[in-house]
Amino acid sequence: MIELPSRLIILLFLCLVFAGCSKKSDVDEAHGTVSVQIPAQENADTYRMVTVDLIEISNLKEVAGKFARFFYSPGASDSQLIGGAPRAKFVKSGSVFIPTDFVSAQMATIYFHMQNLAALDRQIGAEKVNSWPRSVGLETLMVENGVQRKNSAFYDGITDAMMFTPFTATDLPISVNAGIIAHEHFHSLFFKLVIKTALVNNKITTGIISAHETNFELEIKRKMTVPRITSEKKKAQLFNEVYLRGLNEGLADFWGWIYTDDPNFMKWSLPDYIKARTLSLAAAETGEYQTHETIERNVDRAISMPDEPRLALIDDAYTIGTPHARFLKQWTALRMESEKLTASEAKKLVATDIISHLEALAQKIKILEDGEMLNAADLFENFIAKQIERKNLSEAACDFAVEYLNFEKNNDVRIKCVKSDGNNVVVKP
Amino acid sequence: MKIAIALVTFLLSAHSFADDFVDILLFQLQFRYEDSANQAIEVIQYRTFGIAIQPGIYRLGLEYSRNENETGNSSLSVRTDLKEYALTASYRLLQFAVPEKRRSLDFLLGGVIGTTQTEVRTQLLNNPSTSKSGSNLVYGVAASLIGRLHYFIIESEFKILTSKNFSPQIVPVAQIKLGASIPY
Repeated sequence: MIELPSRLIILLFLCLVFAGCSKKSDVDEAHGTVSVQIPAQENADTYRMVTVDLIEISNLKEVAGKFARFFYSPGASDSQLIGGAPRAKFVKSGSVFIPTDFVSAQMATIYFHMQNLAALDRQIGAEKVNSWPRSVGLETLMVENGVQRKNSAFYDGITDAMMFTPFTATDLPISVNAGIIAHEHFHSLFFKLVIKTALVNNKITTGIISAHETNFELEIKRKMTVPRITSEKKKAQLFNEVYLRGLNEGLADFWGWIYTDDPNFMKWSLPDYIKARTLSLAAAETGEYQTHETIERNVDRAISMPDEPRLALIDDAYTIGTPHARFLKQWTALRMESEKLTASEAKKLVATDIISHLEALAQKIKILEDGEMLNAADLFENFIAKQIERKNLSEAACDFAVEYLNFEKNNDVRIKCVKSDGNNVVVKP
Repeated sequence: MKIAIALVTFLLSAHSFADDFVDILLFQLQFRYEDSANQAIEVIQYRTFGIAIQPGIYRLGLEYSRNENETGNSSLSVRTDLKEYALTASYRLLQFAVPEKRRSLDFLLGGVIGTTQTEVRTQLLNNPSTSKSGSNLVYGVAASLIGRLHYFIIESEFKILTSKNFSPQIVPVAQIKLGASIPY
């Protein structure tokens, strides 16, 4: 028996029309300024879920906008990432979008930090260094020596992208760690301000200059086919690479601190690194850093070893970098105190000085002679000299500064802190 | 559950096979083809319970569906709990029945309307935070094939549902239901 009354046909038709003409979803309609809930660092001791505004969002489904665009498990083609955007899922609770899965939470969090880091770039005069939106790769699959790389983030200068590999540990995922995101963002500034110049001028031989950057070991193995370092020029290139890699890591850690105010921002995601990488400066370590002689000695030792020297120098990035980061954090505190600044103002001033320092460093690299090595004390000397020039070196800052200027120097050449026309200056004996 | 069994036993002893039924559909498998947390459109299983009443050629069903999902790790996890209540009104288009053997096969078409709501519980470093989406309308069309043998019922249903809360917004749903069919 078949019964097909006309009212049923009308009912079905109406249902289909409703289905076909369904309204756009809240996520589809969202653009411009969008409130989302994300995990964010409140202070050095607390992460909590907070509601923030993402600005200039053009497509919430991909969390794309002026400041970031995402790639899921991306590949690379020449100089850019390729692959699809991850699909973000949110539900709207009142006026706030709540991420409904981990990938979406990561995307919203990273976008928020990128917009803040863009604002920081503007405030310190680095707004023209990067192009926006920044490319970000999530769940980036990388195999090194047959093992899939995980629990790491890196900046890739070739594709100009920040990448996150799958996070399998139980700690706070790296992709929502504000300090690590700021750290990786800094690498993009350093790459464009310094590394490009060094590469173009043949003062280093590899663009892979961040210690945790992609394919580091693979790149090294590729270079093992290159004749071993024999000349002074090659040795200087290696020295400069090691020093710049260390400076890059140290300044990136400092960037993580100025963004989060957490000297141990790494502890949330990578607690094993915290002892070596904390930005808290122990009194006994004040003034200590890897001097030119120490780095050169390490380079000589690496060259004499049977393995590729770069492999033996990987850890030097942090032993060089961390003292720089600790110096800068303490320098910020001293400036804050002596110049009666807020913490935020002092951080911005020091960050501005870092950008100027990197621009000056690029100029020095341009005119570096073949075989000439960079000055490993350059940043300390430069920052101290600037404060003297500004006539703003407090007594405490001067005492702190001379600890660095005198490190590993004999008593007869030790520098002293004296007053001159009411201002503190450092003088040689 | 005990009440349902007692009710079924009572009704079974009181009525003979008929054209009007109350169906209790406790055992259901529902599959939706929608965006998953794995960045792919996948078949996702929902837990569903339902009852229906079918006086003659009309059928009215009430259904409760639920899907829970958790992503992340022990420091940051996002758990979603989607709950949906839906009413299905169907019309029997076709029936093959053998009354003396108490068996029949019905083909029905209908519409679905209901509400869906998602609760999101985010746990960040042991601090939970819970949010709920607004109640969103869900609606669509349904086609079902119902087989009855004595007091048992098996229903296979295919639906196209849409809601602002869904991703994608239009979701195909396939469902198998097993239960008791009580004639009245």
